[in-house]
Amino acid sequence: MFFNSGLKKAMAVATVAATSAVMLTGCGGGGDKKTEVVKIGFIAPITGNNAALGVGMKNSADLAIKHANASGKYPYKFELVVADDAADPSTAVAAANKLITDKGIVAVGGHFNSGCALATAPVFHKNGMAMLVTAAIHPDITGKGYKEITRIITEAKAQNVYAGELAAKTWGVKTICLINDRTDYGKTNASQFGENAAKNGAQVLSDDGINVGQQDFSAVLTNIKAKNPDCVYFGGMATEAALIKRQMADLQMNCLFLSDSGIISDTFNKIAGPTAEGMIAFNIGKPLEDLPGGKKFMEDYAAAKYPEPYDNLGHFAYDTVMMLCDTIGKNKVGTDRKKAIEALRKAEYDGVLGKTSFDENGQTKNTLITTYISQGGKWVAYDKASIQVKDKKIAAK
Amino acid sequence: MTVDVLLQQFFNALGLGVMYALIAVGFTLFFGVIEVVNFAHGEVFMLGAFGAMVVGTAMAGAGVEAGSVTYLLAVLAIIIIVGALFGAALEKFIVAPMRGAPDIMTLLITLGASIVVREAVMIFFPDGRNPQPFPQMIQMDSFNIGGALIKPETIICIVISAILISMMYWIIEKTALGRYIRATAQDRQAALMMGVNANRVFIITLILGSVLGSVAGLMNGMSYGIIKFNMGFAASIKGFAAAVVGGLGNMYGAVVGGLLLGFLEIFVVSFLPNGSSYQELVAFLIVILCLVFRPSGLFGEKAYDKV
Amino acid sequence: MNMKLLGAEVLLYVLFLAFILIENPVFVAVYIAAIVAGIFFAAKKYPEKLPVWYDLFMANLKQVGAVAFVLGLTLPIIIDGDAYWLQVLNFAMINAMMALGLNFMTGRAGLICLGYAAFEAVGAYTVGILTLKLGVSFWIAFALSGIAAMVFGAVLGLPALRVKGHYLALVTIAFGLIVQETLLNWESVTGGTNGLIDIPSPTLFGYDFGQMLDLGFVSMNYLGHFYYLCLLVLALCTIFIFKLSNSFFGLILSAMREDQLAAQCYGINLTNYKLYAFAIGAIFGGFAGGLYAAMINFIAPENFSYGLSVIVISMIILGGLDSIPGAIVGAFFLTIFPEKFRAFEDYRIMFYGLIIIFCLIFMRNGILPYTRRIFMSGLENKEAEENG
Repeated sequence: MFFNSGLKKAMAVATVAATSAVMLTGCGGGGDKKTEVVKIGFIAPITGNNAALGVGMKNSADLAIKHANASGKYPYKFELVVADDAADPSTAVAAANKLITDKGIVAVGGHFNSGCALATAPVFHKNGMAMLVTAAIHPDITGKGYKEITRIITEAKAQNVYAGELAAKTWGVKTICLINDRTDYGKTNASQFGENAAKNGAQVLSDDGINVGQQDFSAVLTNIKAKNPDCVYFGGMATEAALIKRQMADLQMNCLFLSDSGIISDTFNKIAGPTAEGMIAFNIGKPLEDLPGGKKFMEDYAAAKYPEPYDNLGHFAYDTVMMLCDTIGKNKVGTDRKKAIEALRKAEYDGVLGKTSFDENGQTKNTLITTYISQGGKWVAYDKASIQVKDKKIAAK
Repeated sequence: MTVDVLLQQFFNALGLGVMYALIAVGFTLFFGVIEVVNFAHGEVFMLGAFGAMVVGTAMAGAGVEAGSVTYLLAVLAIIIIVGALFGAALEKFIVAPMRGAPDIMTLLITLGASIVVREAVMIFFPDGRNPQPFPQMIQMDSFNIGGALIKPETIICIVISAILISMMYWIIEKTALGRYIRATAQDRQAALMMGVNANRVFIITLILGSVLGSVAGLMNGMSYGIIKFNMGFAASIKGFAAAVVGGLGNMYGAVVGGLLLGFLEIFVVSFLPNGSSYQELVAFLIVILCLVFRPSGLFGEKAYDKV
Repeated sequence: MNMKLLGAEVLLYVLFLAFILIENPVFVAVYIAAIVAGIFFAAKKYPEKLPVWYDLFMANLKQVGAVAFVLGLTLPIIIDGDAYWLQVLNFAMINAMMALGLNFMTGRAGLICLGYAAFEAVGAYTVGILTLKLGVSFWIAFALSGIAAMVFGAVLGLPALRVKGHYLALVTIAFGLIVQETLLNWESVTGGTNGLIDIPSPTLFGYDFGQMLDLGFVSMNYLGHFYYLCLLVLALCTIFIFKLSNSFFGLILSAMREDQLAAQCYGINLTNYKLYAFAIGAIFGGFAGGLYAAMINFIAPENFSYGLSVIVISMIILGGLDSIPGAIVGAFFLTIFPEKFRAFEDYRIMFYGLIIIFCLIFMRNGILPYTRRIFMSGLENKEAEENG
């Protein structure tokens, strides 16, 4: 850098400006001092590829805080501190550190994807901060035996146990070809589905890996077509699933096509176009209207007039934060992080998702799984759709 | 493996190969004439696909039937406009300011340009982060050739590519413009002295190559029906790889390189165990092998440094 | 000891501290704009003084470096052990190591590398696998991470020997992606897509780096240890690369970059020197990766993508190709600046692209140019050639 006297003057001015800026931003706080303020941290992907989901989560978390404060049941005034993980593990660790530094924060909720939760779990463990995972479903997140980590969403395996049994037993699928996108998520789902279908008498003919971002699946599908399976299962996300579905249609393959919760989004129906019809996917959770507190949540969210929708995971975020507030409030935790960890492990909470309590690993005992089918460009719960699996093909009811 | 499966895989490979070839021709043209490796070439591929999608959707909205002459002409027009504008802008704002700088800097600036264009589409195109459905442009059933199913789109892509590549051949070998281009490619100084307007040759070359890239984007949209802001990266890497295998600067080499790459990818998936995992890697392995054993490509001439 | 320079550096440090401490993005933007405007204004008003200061700076690099190191020691105390900023600063230092290594390959030797993240991956997985799976001490694993990266650099150098600039770009991209693919597929060793979770923290004579760092008057979490470790490693890397660049070896690499043919005519064996340049440049990536793995305790193939390679390139372009202080400043700026604008996270990658374009067109030698010289624009060069 270059310097001289004229420049120094300019710099001095800038420094003064900067210092006053710091003071200005520092004095923003204040507020009600009568009740003790307890801060709850929340991490979600506010930016990046999953921003829409993350903003829905953030709004719902905010709604939970408002409800907790308005209820008058708790001796504290709760405040939400949101940090962004951008669905990227190293950003997530930075976000976790940011929250840990804030001494007013007693417990943290959040995370959309498993990569982030896996990365931050040791950080929360090391620093002794309770973390209630909202939507990341990898088994290892709670499987590590960290007493700080609990999870409100059903873990991934339950979905595949259910799906494998349904396909092999109820639908009578005998032969299966697996495809996975070689991400942790896709691979785990595909192999677990295969195992559980095999336990129920089906045979796995092939297991192919593809790449995220790949476009051309003609070769691998031509191979699969030659094997003539009853069903193809894809573990992965919406874009690749839509491309595969389209190229299956091009090759006139009309066997069943199943997939995981990663493809359940409007994007899939939009980009798969007419070929989306009859696509089946399994999801953790239940349609919001079928959940115990679903209707009330939808009404409350609409009444709060957030500019963005709550999206797929809003109610999970709501319950995460509400459960944290409830546990902290009932047990008079205050800002004692250690006490929060112990209280959370023993907590029982009744919310939008139903009754939540934790097993010895901190995993929720509440198992929610739904089968969806794409019909008329929308995801419809399988038992409400007018098409169904009949004789290993999609047919009208 | 039965005959119909083999035949199916043959057509799969051909469809992929011609697309790679079209992209590779652009790369090789830029390198041969302007001595620039244009990393932004993948972005014109993406912009072409998005342009065609916007026009196609708008035409469908205005009641013009997909596959009709007006419809196809409008799509063709936008493809050419996108390609030409992109090529001209690239020359004006990116390549020209770097003339005389070390090669490495020109390469890096096209890399920067490609990032900016790609991210701009992601941020500013409505819902640009998500993949977009590409409108169906042709309404025809698949052909059944010996048990193999061939999409009409695949056949159209093969035909269009053949026509475009022949046209390029004709322009470069038979017209006055082609003579200027060849002269500039051979020796820029000498061409300048003979009265060739090198700047004009540069801009025309960039436009020609970019239009080819933009057409390849259209073909990609038609073949797969789904386009995304980041589709250009993989395409440019593969096009570049094909051009290198064929010998950078050699147009016929680029065509052969593209086809070779397409066939190798499909071959790997068809015959190797768990080959589908490696489909995307084939391009890189072949490039490295090629550079180790034949550094100037299959059809490239051995390069000597001029003192 | 040059007091003028010392004063200037302390002032810079204060400016840097203010930059970190201002939280409001609007104020940050105003602040940066004010500094840039100040420099611009000064350059306009006193054009003859700039080169003097710059020469002073370049002539006293030892002093500048030493002072920077001492000031660096105080930084965590001044920010009161704020974990978030410690982590950002640690990332900045790790990126600076990578920028130094890439700068050696690309800036000094002129060998373009678009897959530098692969070296960080090699270093990170070396430390991860050795400490997590084999229980090797971090310090041994850390030393090996540099060596492993060096071996990979030499391996990449082999195909690179036969090809020139443009081809090299493709080979290095391919290399980066192949390394990433290998990490994905070689599950038994690398953990596949899951990556390696829970890599142990280093211990030194029984002292665990994963615990709180309590200095008595200020306490910070485990990142404090890594701050000082990174600072030390970065300082050693800088000294090493500085000595190397100023040696006869560095001169040969410069000659090779400027004109391969002429260098050959002077009897330089290009083959060997290209290999050395790749191998040595890669070491720093390996160390950066080793520190990253031990600090974050979690590594996965997606952390070492092509995107990261491009970001490191934008750092050395901003700093000025072949400029060692430039690489460090570029890495710090491009790591910290986007953190100030988290709300604009979506624009982050585009920002790196714009930096590349802007620098190459308007200040081709970066903010801290290696040598002071008047760069003739391409047109003038051409005209000069034509007229001559």
